[in-house]
Formats: sequence, C-alpha cells, structure tokens
Amino acid sequence: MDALLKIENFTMHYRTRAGHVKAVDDVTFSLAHGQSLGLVGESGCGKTSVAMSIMRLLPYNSEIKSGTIVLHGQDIYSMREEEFRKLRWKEVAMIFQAAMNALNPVYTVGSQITEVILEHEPEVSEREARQRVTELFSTVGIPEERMDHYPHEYSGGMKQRAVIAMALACNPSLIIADEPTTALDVIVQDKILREMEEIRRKTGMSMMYISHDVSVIAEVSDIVGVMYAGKLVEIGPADDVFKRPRHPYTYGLMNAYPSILGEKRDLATIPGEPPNLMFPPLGCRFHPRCDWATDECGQVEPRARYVGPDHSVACHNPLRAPSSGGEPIGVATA
Amino acid sequence: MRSLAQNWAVFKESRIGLAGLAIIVCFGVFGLMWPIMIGNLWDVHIYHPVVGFDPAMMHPAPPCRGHVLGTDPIGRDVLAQLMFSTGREFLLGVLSAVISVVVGTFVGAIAAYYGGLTDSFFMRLADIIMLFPFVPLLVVVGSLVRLDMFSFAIILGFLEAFGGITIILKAQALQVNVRPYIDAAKVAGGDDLHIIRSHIIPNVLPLSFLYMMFNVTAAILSEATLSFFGVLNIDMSWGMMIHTAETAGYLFDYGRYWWLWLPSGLAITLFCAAFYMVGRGLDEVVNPRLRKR
Amino acid sequence: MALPQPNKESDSIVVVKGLTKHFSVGRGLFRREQARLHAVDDVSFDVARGEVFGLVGESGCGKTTTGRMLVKLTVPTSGDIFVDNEDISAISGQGMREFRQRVQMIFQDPYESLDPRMTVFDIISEPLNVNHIGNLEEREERVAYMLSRVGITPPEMFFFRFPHELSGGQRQRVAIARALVVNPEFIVADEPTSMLDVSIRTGVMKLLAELQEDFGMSYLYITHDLAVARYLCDRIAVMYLGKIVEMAGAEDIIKNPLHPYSKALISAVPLPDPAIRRDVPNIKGGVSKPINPPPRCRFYPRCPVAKNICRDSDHPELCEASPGHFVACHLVAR
Repeated sequence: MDALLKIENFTMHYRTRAGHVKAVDDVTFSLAHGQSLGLVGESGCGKTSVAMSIMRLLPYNSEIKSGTIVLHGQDIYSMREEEFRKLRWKEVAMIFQAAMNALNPVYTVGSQITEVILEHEPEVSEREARQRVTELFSTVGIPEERMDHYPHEYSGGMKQRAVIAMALACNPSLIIADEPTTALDVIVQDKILREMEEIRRKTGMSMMYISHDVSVIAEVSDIVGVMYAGKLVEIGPADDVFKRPRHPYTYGLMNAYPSILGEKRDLATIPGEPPNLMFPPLGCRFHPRCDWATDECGQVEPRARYVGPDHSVACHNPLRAPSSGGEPIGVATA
Repeated sequence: MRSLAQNWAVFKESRIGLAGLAIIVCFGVFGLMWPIMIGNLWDVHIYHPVVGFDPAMMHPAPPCRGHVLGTDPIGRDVLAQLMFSTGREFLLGVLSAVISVVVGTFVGAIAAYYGGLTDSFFMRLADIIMLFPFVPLLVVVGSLVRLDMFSFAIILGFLEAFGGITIILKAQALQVNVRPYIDAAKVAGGDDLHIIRSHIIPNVLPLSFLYMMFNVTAAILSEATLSFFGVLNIDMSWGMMIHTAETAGYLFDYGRYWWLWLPSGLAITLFCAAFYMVGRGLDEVVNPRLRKR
Repeated sequence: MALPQPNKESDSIVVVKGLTKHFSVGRGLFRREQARLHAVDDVSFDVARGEVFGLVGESGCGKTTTGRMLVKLTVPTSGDIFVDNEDISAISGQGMREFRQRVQMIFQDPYESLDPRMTVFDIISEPLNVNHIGNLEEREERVAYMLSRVGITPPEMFFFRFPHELSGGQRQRVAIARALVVNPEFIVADEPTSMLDVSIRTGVMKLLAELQEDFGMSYLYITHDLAVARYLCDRIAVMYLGKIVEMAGAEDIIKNPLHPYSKALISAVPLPDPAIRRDVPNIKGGVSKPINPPPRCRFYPRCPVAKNICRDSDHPELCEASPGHFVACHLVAR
C-alpha cells in the first residue's frame, strides 16, 4: 500500500547560542491513508518538532541534518517554498498546541476561516468560501449563526472546534493535531475526540495525534509511536504497544499513570530526568534511567528492530512479552 | 531570569548598547581629566571655566595654540568649559534619574499593591503632572526661586517620579502582583511591607533601571533648555555655554563662530544619545520577548 | 526552634460549614439587579486529621476558590471555616501568625509560584523568616532537612540556585519543601502535578503520599483528574457549578457513583487500554457559568434523567444515601 506519509531517518537540530539541540534524531515511520497515528511522549521529546517538520514550519535556526519526509510520493524538502505552499493546508494541515488561544481576537471566527480558504485556494470566490465555512461549522458542530461572533464569545470547546474547522478548510488528506484537547475539561474532551474520529471515519483522512496523555492516545490511535529525547523508541499497533510494551521507557510510561479501572495499584516511577538534548548521553538516550541497561546500552545506539508484525523497538534488550514469561504488564483492565 | 554575568552577556550582544556604554566611558574619562588639567597643566587664571581670561588675544578667539577649541565671548577657554561641565552633567543626570526611579518604583509598587483609592490618587497625580508643560512650568519656578544644579536635579527627579514613570512601573508591578509567588508569600505569612519590599520591588527594578537611562536624557535636555533661557542659577554647564553665545549675539552668525555652539551642542547630543543607547541595550536584557534567540 | 504543635483534641482538623463566595460581575451602576457569580455556594465538609480529602471537578466548579478561602487568600461571602476548632474569620495578629504556620498551600504552577529573583534557600526559608522562627543556623539546618526530605540532594548544593536553573519537577519539590518547612497540620494542594510531565508527576505524587504518611498532616487535594484523586485521596467530593454534588470514600465514588454528574465524569475519563470501548458519557451538552442561578438543581439543564421535581424544587441537599456516601440528588433513594 502506498503510504500517505513516509518519514525516513529524519534528523533535525536547532542551532542556539549555547549549542546544537539535537531535537529529532533518526526518526522513521509511515502513515497510510485513513490511518491514525498517535505520537506520545513528554515535553521536549521532539514530537512537536516532528509535526512542524512535516508542515515545513520550522524556525530559522533549525537545520535538517539528514533524512527525508515524503508526502504523497513527493520529497517535501527538495521542493522550493512556493511549491510546498501548494501542499500546505491543502494536503496536510495542523491544529497547533493551544490553538484556541491563537485565534485572532479582533476578527470574527467565520472571517478567519474564510481568510484561510482564500489564502490557500485563490481561485475560490469569497461567496464559495463562506459557503464552505458554513458546511465546516455543521461538520464540527458549531451553530451556523456563530460564524459572525468573535473568539471571546466562544467557549473553550467551541474554540477548539473552530480550530478543527480551520484545519479541515481545504480538505487535507492528513491532519496533525498537536495536543488538541489538553486545555479542555474531560467531558468536553471526550466529545471533541469522538467528533474528530467521526470526521476521520467519514472523510477517510489520516490523523496524526500528538499528546503527552497516554490515555487519549490509546483511545484515538490505530498506530502508536513513543518518543523519548528526540528518538522514536517504539512504534506499533496501539494494542501491542499498550498491552505488550517492549521498550523499558514505554513500559515505565504505561505504569506511571493512575487509572480509575481495576484495583488500586502502586505506581512505578522512572528515576531521573530527561536528558539535555544538547549533550545527549552516549549510546541509548534512555539508558541512564533504565532498570535493564547493560554496558552496550551506554556505548552503542540501538537500531530499530521488529519484535512483531509492524511493531518495532529501538532497544538492545527489549522486554519480553508477558506470554513468554516476561515482566508483568501493569496496565489494569476492568 | 539570569545572573549578572549572563545579563552582561546578553547586553554585550547589543551593539547599540555597547556603543552607548563606550561613549559614556569616554565622557567619564573626559570629565575626570578636568582636575588633572586644572591642577597641573593649565594656569587657573586663564583656564578657569567661569572667571578665567586670556588677555593675549581678542575674544571670542577661534581654535588656536593654547585654546584647542577657542574661547568664548568673555575670554574663557571652551575646552576647559566642556571638561568642567562634564562632571556636573553626570551629577545632574544621575541624581535626578536615581531619585525619579527610586521614588517612582516605590510609588508604583504601592499603587499596584493596594489598588483602590491609593492607586487612583497617584494615577491622577501623574496625569496632572504629565498635563503640565514641563519647560514653561520650570521657567516659572526658576524665575521665582534661584535654582542651582543640585536643587534643580532634585526637583526634576521628584517631578519625574510622580509623573509618567509611575504609571509604567505600576503597570509592571501589577503584573508581578498577580503572580502565584505573591500568593505563596502571603500564605507563608508575609505582611504587606514584606511583600512589597522583598517581592514586588525586586521584580520591578530591572524595568526601573531601564527607565533610569531615559530619565538621564530628559534631565540633561531640560537643563540645557532652561539654561538657554537663562532661568537657572547655574554658573557653568553645556547649556550655559550656548546661552552665553546667544546672549552675546554670536549665534546669529553660526557658521563663523561655530566653536561657540558646536562643541557644547554635540556634547549634549552625544551624552544623551549614549544613555538612550544604553537604555536600548538594556531593553533586550530586561524584556525577554525582544531577544532574538 | 519552636514550631507550633498540633492540638489533638478534636477529630477534624478542618470543618467547613455553608461556605459561600459570590463575585459581582457586570456593571453595577446601570443594571437593576447586580449579576453575581455564585462561584461557591453553601459548601460544607470536614477533613479529618491525617486524611487526604479530594476536591474534584471541572474548571469553573469552584474548587480552587474553595481552596483559596481555606488559606485565607480570598474572603468568603458567608459561611464558617474552623481550623483546629477555631473560627478563622476573626483571627488577627498572633492568631494569624499561628494560622499561617498551621495551614499551608502548594500551588499549581511550578514555574510561577517561585519568585524568580530569590534563591532556593530564600524561598524555602521565607515562612521561617517572616514568622521570626529560629536563627540563621537553625534555618539553614531546617531548609537542608526539608530539601533532602523532598528528594533534592545534596541540599547545600541547591541553596544558592535560582528557580530557572531547576527543572519543573525540582521546582515543585522546592514548593513542597516551602509548604512543609513550618510543620503545618493542613495543606491545600491545588493541582500540584497537572503542569508536570508524566514521568515526573508520579514521583511528586508519591512524594506527597510519603510525606503525608511520615508527617501525618491532612491534605485538601484539588484536582480535575479523577484517576489522580483516586490514587491519593481517602475521600472525594465532586463539585459542580459551586456545589458539592457527591461525597464519599474514594473507591466508593469511583466504583459506585450515584450522582448523574459523577457518573458522566467517570465515564468520560479516557482509559489507557485501546481494547476498551467506553460508552458515551450520559450527559447533555452545554456548560454554563453559575451567574444568578435559579434555585433549582444546578445540574438540571444537563441531567439525562431529570424529572419535574428537579426543576420545581430547590437545589437538593447533600443526604447520606449509604453510610459515608453523600449525594445531592432528588432521585437517589435514601
């Protein structure tokens, strides 16, 4: 199957006054049409940087060291900016972190989305654009009369829906949603996530969800990728990654969340802190915090290897799956 | 928030700030040369900036041997006047700026912390002061009371303190006031004075330093203007040098007698510009949003 | 160094009766009836010695305002708060000082609750300072002790660091040390882990649990995250639009919620298990602010099982449905 998005060995650094921040290192994954990928990891792990790289919205001090990003069969970094502009928002759109705060307060919401359409599709007339906005509002569930209201008249959930509508405006094949529900209350979050999945089902578009919230990722992703310190340490079908995590960090992450299901259990902590990305540790970037680290882990960087169909891990000693008598997995089920 | 060393590193990056600092240092050296010159190299009878007189030539004399920048209409050496005034100008600028900022910071912090009537009172006071045209007001004051450099600096300092700077510093203090660490200080048991003194003022101070630079400029220019009008009781300053030239009628032919106004005018301009430039450099240090990184 | 000792006569360290806080909103001059936001309305509960009491709800429910009233950062509109059998509304002078040593608070934002211009030592010793406790040497000892208790070692190395040199987790530990330095009996913790990264969050949560066991103080733990509340709290109260709608033991509420809002809240929590398909939370849409609310049940507009009695009667009182389990709902059998 021809993948919609293919990232291969992508490495990107930020140049700062103090040094090079090795923000994304040798990341490889692909996303098929209609699939949803959840990228999970803590702050600073590089997930937002990956998203910005796909959108070609990296800041001036970023430097792509190696690797390619191929969208619809086209290497996006080999084209000129004007060429990519034809793809941006029309093939791939993004919902930024805290996007609801990025709505311009002095323009009505409807006019802002109309503006986006006209910017990216100049052939469309203003009347057609407004018509499309009406349809978008209906898709995301905002009453039509709200088109001429200002952002401050919207509730948090409504603002998030408006931002989703903006991302959908030009019918992209891929939407990247960066922490789309982090600022929302849990009941509103549930509603928005369900609506997003419904939209995805109806339009057949692909979604890339980025979040630090493991539970949100579990609920919306077909494929889950775990990032740590700029590396993609594990990626595979959601069920596999959650039920049979093979990377020690993934395992630690899954067990660090209290759950309302099942019996109350003790939580596992991952000792230490994420590394400074200007001077990442030698070998595996996670090894200083890993309970199972060996000498090799401190010297040689682990390459990704398959541990199951479509499930790969970047670890010298992946954890054994529970069925073969390995470590018990603590994710509770009802 | 950075340590002093890191702040200096950021300041160093601002070329405009460094240039300004360099100019100020030059002026400083220039001013320090005065006691050396007058003590050792210059005959005080000829080179005294106020009562000196060179009987050997016609005045005002153009630049020549013995008088690098010529003499003024009364026979006093221009370079000596410049050098002598430099120290005074520093005193004037720094004194009034420090007063305005110290008082302004305190007033701003109190207005922000207590709000209500206190706040309204100081804000209306600031409005009134800002409404008044500064220079004519000082002209009136100067004609009633004989103001020397020192008292002028103090009055100016207080006027500026309760004026516009209070509004700006109060705005900054307001931002500090709503930070959780102020709540935390209250919960720890801190009383009002403790919070204002230990939390609000230290966090407003960087901005105060910034405005201090701009106040120096205002002070120097005000003095120059008022001296030009002859309203102040100052014996010698850069402004007075231009005043002397004007009242003696030599400014009319400004091309021919350029040494009577150009050196002093340049000194004023450069000195003020230097402080402004340092202020701009400090802006990057104080205001993190401006940083280019 | 003399620190206040607890008065062990009564069972409850904190008793709250009919606590109410109204804010005026809108222009008062030209409106006939002043619009009032009923942030907290007639809230009553008590916290036993050594208990961790959770206050749970979505944003705008009044939990933070309640917490602030308990530490006297906000003045109640009406109602009583008793700490150690003493009515705290009337205290001043020496009584105030004792209060400030008895009741402390941990704030949500580790980046904003520490004064960026103060060193770690100054920050933690501030409560000792303003209360004139101990001399310099004694304070240094105490601060060093607190730092090692919260896991920041070696303590002396951190005395002269500034907050910006510490990570989020370390900052929050410093904030905890500051709260504990005067040996308080009761601590209000306002979402202390919500702004921390996942792997750090667990460490801080465990620290709070440990400290509670060791020092025996009581907590009021404010959070929007039910799973965290379940992990840390003995009892939980669920708040909605300024009222407590349900109050019971933590396990009891999670496993057997009685109020329709609690049920919806629990069912909306995302689960870290991709195989589980949660039901759609049973709740009607629309959040609102409690501005001049009508006297009926506040949950009525959103309640999926509301009857006429809910619309026509006053807001239901909290009643004991089963031992220790209180609900405010007309439809729950006593």
